[in-house]
Amino acid sequence: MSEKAMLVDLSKCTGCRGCQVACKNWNGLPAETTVNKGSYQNPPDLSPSTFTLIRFQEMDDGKGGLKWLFRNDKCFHCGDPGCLKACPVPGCIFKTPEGAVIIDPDKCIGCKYCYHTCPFSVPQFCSKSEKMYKCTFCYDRQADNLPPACAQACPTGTLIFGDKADIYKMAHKRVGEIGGSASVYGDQYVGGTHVVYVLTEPADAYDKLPEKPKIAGSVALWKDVLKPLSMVSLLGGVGAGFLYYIMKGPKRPDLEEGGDSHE
Amino acid sequence: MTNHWIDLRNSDCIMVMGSNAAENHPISFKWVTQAIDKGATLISVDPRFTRTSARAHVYAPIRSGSDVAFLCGMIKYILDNNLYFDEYVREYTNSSFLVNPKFKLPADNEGVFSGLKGTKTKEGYVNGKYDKATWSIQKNTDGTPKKDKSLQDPNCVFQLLKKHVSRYDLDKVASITGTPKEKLLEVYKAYASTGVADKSATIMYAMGWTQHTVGVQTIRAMAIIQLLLGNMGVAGGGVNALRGESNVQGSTDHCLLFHILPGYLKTPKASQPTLEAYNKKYTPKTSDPMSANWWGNYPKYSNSLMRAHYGLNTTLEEAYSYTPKLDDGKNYSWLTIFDDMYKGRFSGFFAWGQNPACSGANANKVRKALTKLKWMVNVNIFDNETGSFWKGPDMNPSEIDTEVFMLPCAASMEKEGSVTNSGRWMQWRYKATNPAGEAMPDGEIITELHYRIKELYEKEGGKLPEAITKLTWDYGLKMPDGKIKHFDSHEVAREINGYFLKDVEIKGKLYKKGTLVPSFAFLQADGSTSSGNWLYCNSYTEKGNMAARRGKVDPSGIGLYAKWSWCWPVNRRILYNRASVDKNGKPWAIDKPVIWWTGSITKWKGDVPDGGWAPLAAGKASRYPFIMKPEGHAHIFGPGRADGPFPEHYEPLECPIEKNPMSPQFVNPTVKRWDIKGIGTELDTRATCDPRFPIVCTTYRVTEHWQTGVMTRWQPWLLELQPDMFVEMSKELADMKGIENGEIVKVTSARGEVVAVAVVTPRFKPFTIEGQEVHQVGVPWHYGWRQPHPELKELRSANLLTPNVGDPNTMIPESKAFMVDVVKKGGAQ
Amino acid sequence: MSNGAKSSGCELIEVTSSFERLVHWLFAGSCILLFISGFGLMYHTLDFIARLFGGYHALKYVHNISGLVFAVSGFFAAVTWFKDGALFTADDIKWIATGGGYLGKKDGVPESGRFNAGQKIYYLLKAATWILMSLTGIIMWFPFSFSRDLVILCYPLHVLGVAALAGAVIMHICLGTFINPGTIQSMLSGKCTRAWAKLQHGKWLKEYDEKNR
Repeated sequence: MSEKAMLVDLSKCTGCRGCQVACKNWNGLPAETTVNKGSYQNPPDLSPSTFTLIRFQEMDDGKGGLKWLFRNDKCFHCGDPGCLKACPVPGCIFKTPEGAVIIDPDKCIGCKYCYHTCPFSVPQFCSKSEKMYKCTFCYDRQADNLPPACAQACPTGTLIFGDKADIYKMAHKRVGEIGGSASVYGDQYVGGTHVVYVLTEPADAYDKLPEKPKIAGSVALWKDVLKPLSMVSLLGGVGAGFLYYIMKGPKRPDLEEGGDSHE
Repeated sequence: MTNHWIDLRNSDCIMVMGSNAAENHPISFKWVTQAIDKGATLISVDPRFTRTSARAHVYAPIRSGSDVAFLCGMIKYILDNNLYFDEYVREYTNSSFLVNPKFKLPADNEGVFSGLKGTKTKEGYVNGKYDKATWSIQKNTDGTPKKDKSLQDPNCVFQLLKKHVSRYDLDKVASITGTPKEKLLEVYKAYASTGVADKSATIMYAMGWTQHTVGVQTIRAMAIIQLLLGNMGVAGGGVNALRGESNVQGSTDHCLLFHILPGYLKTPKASQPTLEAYNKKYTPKTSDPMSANWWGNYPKYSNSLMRAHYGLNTTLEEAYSYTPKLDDGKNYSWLTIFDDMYKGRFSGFFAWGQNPACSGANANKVRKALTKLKWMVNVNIFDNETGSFWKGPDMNPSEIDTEVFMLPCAASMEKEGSVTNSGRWMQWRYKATNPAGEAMPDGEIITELHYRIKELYEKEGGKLPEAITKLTWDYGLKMPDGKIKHFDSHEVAREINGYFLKDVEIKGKLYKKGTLVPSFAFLQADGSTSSGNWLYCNSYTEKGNMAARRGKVDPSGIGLYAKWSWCWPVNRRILYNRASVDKNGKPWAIDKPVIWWTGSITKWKGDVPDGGWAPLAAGKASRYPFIMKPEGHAHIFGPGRADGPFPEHYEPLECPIEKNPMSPQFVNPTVKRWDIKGIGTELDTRATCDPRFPIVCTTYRVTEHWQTGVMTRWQPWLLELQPDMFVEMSKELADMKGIENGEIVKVTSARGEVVAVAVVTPRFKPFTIEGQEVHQVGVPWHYGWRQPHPELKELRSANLLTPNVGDPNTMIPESKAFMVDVVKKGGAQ
Repeated sequence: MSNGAKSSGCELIEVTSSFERLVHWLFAGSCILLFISGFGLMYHTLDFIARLFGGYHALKYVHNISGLVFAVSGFFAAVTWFKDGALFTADDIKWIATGGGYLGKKDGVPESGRFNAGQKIYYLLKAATWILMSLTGIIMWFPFSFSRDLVILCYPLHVLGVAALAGAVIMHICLGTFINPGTIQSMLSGKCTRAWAKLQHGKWLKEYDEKNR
């Protein structure tokens, strides 16, 4: 199967949150007990039972008017996922050939490494099950040639699912049509995300959206340099000890001479 | 909708005003988005910056209740700048008709049209009624309307309109509406740019227009604009009411309202003792041979309806005599029903699929009215604030004698049947699952009720038992005891379509007794056909259930999808489509043609035309395009309304300013005013320009809930999104009142108070009205007390605040503009 | 020459207290478990480790709980051996210069006190990594209580500690066992032979004899 991607064209989103409910429906996620704290955004953030969330943001348009931004936030399904890099359990986080990045809850040990190593802080910890959860790109639907539930529910064409190459092309074409400060977000980051935005505002205008997401240098240092170094250190220790023993032999006390020096 | 949902994509300019389509009709934005992609302009006019506004190219704020002024300003702009579609206006509308010279416009008659009778007070007339004698059209000797096609005669409709709207200049409109002048111009300019042949604009409106004391006149103003711009009958045009429930179009078509019978036939009145008298009264005549005058067929439809009700069990006249009649002059609308109930005038009540304790204007009056009942039957899928009113806040169960029965009914997906959407599509739906527990489909419940009532009448007699005992009730296989084993919605659908009751020969073809009537053109006035609703005749024919069709091809290219479901009338997807072509049958817009004439043999192509006659150039063989009007011309001058042939701005019953800036007449003079002494009750209060209630308030819905929330508040996934009652207000107002975002506040009106979470937002801004700063707030009406937190014993229902006053034509309550105050309650949630 | 057991090279003398041994083995044991579980968590190829402990979930708990033992016993270790391990003398410099006899010539290696300079270096390394591993470990354990920048900095620091420690701990084990036979006895029974003491910690033995004269 070819690599897939989802376009999130924010110029078309009406914040209806059909995606949010469709996601809960398909994934059988329970509702949260929320309160209105003066915003339409609810639940207030992604959570173990909220894989996709519309973020509502009011913004001055600089011309005396107003903009109301709606951002469909969920896992970006990175080409080079930070979460996968950090995960200690083999096969717990994996990539499908279509590009979905999945956390297998059966294998998750709740170490939470994936939370901060994700440039978008997407995976969410459930304290009850002690596991991390996030959007699965509906890989179970993809297996049946169905688009993810959110894309299926979207009435406006904000969420479009298709072949990655086509979606990337569409995103750039759309940005060309919109012009102004519109931009494509995602294709140039973290190995090319499988969820790409068409942003209408500069990336830094959006709440909780990193301007230039990347796997942190410290994570690369950890996994690419220090992790092998620690093995070198371990094996070096073993090797040195063994080598010393066979070259120089043990340092044995002379039992006969033992007592005479204390006089 | 004169058009349909998909057709929105054909529009060059879409105005969303009096609705909030992105939020409350989210799927419509599939098509709106497509129109925008093709270059259309989206305009959002709303008191509050909404999710629709977020996508709009132009957002114009407007004070609730000032829509007529806003639109009259647009009419003036179109006329002043000659932006109207001249040929269309001249040929297809009554603009050239000459009006009775005695007719007076409000400018010359103290703010009212000529002929008003009523009590005069310092606010102008109240509880008035028009004698429409002067609202007439001058007739030629042959009975046809006198016309001046040059549109120059000072008494012609065009000139009268021009004179009438000349008072609505930009400054005046801005001062009434609070819309900045440059925003008015921006909207007017964008919308009026479609007054050319190949462009169309459309309006998406809903309860934001209808729930006013000037609701109908607002829609009239828009209809006038659409006619001036040549936007009726064309693709991407029309006047489009977005219905608020999936099947409210269907229920209206099938006589949800007291004043109509199925198919918009009139409910008989006591003063019409015979069917003949009734038919005579409502069958219009025309003297113009080129006018189709479709309502001239009235007796065919009314008589077929009598046959649908009583079959051949009775004569037509007998059937009519069993049909309920209205007392002349008596109104039986919602507000009146609950006023009567409150006054103890009736003892029993079926609350069927509704929640009046939350949805009724002045809900405290409704709640108290329920206590006066002996019994109430609540038919719903969930218990609600109505069924449990007796244990609600401020109620003492020990003092309430009302016996309440709950009949659980099936939800829409638990039964088979049709749903008619806003675009008039009758779509057949199948049962997905069985109803839970003892719940039954409505049809089963009614069938059972019918059977029991019939049994009682047969045993005990009573007044006019035949009205029940002689009804046909063939909605399924009958058991030997006469009971229906299983209610079959297909049988109802067939009855609605209608049968030949005997062998009938029409145009040389024989139609056998017992077969289904192919379309309403075949219905007869002689009692040989039946039809439960002539508009739906053609929906279920010998070819099968048309509503169940699922054809996905669109040869029209404009999204008609003629083989997908079925659309009334006779599968015509765009109403008045004969107005989409010129005299020769050539479409105004060649790139989005609705119909086009291909010659006398092959005739019309495209949509089902509004009558198959040749184009107007054919002269006598042709018919004018607006076939439902006796003279065949669209009404720019509309004398049918109760409150005037042209729209005129009146202030809402409760408003922030002391007088109507347009005239000495403060409020629509023809509305029924319960707040006037001696008419209503102590609960029918009004507080206009009252310092206790200085803030304009409006009600609305949100995407996440539906109606009073009876269905959605029990759905955790939806409750999670919008968990509680809130009131939106500007930062400026919140600062003034010392209210923090997210704080619990009280909203109070002359009629009640509501507890809500304050949502402080820049999406509301103060208005400048007549030079003074006016604040507005808004509340959703989805909440009550039964769920989500009955433990609070607080009322969170917006309709506790709303006034019970309605539009004089429709009696739809004015829930969209009234006065309140907002005060801190203290403490966060 | 030798005069009975007392003066014999085989004479056993008590070199560590029971408290020291308890601390040592708690610290050493947790450290070894941490190494094993840590490597198991770091290298997917070493998944046999997880299987050994009953799966990754269990492995996480082994690591976290050993971490707690490590942090607590590390504190006592640091305090207990502070005097022995943290204070360097001129002899220690000399010891280092001569490689303690392990690397260079055996001549000229000064006699060691209770800790030789190598052990002191090991002490310092352990003390430093004890602080590092405990702090970064706690932060990694509760990542939601700390800022993202801090947490993702802790991941490489934690592994840096592993890299620094792994070789050293292995060397410590080698030196304490087969390279210096008899050494481990001092951490098992707590006793060593006089001969061993003379060879490894001559200065200390002298001081010991002074005290017990």
